[in-house]
Amino acid sequence: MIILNNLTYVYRKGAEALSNASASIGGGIYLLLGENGAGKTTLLHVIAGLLHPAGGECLIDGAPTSGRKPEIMRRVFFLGDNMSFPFVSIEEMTRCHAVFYPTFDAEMLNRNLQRFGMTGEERLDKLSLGNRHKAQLAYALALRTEVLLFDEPANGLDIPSRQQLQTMIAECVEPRQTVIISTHIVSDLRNLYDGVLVLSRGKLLLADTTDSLLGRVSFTVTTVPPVSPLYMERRLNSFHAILPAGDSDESGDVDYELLFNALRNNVKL
Amino acid sequence: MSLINYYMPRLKRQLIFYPVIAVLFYFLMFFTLRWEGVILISAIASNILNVMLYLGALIFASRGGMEIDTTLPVDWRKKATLILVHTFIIVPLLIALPVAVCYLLTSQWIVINPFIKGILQQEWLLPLPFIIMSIATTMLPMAVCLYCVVSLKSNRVIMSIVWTIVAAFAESIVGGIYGAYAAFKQGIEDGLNGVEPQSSSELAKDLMAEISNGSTAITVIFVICTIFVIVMACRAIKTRQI
Repeated sequence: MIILNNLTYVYRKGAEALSNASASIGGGIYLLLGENGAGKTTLLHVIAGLLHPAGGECLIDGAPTSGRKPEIMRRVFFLGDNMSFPFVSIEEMTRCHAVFYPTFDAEMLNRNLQRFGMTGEERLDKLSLGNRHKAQLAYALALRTEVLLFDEPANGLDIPSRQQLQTMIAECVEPRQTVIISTHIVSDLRNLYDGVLVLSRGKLLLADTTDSLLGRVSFTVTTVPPVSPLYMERRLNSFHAILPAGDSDESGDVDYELLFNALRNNVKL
Repeated sequence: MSLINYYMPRLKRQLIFYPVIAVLFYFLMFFTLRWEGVILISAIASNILNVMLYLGALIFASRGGMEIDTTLPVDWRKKATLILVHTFIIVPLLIALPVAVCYLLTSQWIVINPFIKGILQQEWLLPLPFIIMSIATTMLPMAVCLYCVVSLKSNRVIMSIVWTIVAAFAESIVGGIYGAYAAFKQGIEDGLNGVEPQSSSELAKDLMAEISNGSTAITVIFVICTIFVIVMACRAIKTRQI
């Protein structure tokens, strides 16, 4: 369980990257949404203990991550966009780094690597950006840490690899794990999410599970404008709307883009 | 043990190359000691070895992986201990030990040029305070390099080299100013006391005696600076943010 208590992060120049963000994030896969510069990566860095908040705290099972205590850090792993590993290969990484993570599953790593057609012996610096990213994702998932933080995990992956990644995440992640995935391309892993976090200009506008959200509102697509929607957008010849739960006979999956736009327009959900 | 294992792939290169380079320089000196030109060669060799010592901590500045290093689930004290022991004990030993071993094995065959022999026999050349000051002056740039490696967020390698050179240069300036002051003071005192000009070796001996009076103060200042920089480096290891 990750708890954010009035989390605030301020850059050296005084700009506020996160402002009083509060949330309780339980097990499941969470989508972290936000415009460029909204504070998504900063939030992931703070949760990972890589940045110390200026105010408030981020707790994992009651302990602040900024303290970087080994017993907390071995339960968290952050995989950033364009991050490089300080080892030659995944095999070396397994030998030298995975030993610090008691939950690491070597068989899972081999399965994940095989899915991407790799062995783990490949030199990471000789791999293309996409393949390097695949190897890192395979490794990160195999660590099976309680908290997994991915910043743009599908970046640089081709279409088949994105589908493989979706399957891999679905197979590898257990209910006890909290996985937060920051991405601009919502469609990549659309069916995986159990919850959503929406950040805009440093403010955490929403932190909820999809079940809880769909208990309050429904997402519809109609050819005629619905009556009294909470929020509506016209896309080509159809109307995409958010309605209060119960106002619609049909409710589809969460339309994350619509949800994001609604929250940015100060719609209360 | 796992922490040593974690850093080993990076340290391995240093553990191999440093002794190899030290041995190469030893044999370069071994074969050139019979010529007077060895002074120039030894100056170049000792400077290169000094730079290797100064930049020993660079091995911890991997191009990537700062996030992995920072979030490694190990107590910061253990990380700091390993890094400090490697930088200040292992790296100097990587140079000193192979040279010492080579010297023990080959000393009987060393042929020294008579002029060089004469210089080496001057007892004022290596008094204890100078040896201690030499160690202190070497440790400060090493500490500066370490601090830059563990605290800088970008251009860690280049900026660490730059700041290490700046630190070594600053030390040279302090030493130079003090040396000039000591020589000036010696000259004035000799003039006031009506001392006749001496032989160059006696003059050097007197000057070194004068310098050694103040070397303790300079050594203490360098040691304090080194300790301060090491404490800052430990703080950076503990609280480093990316």
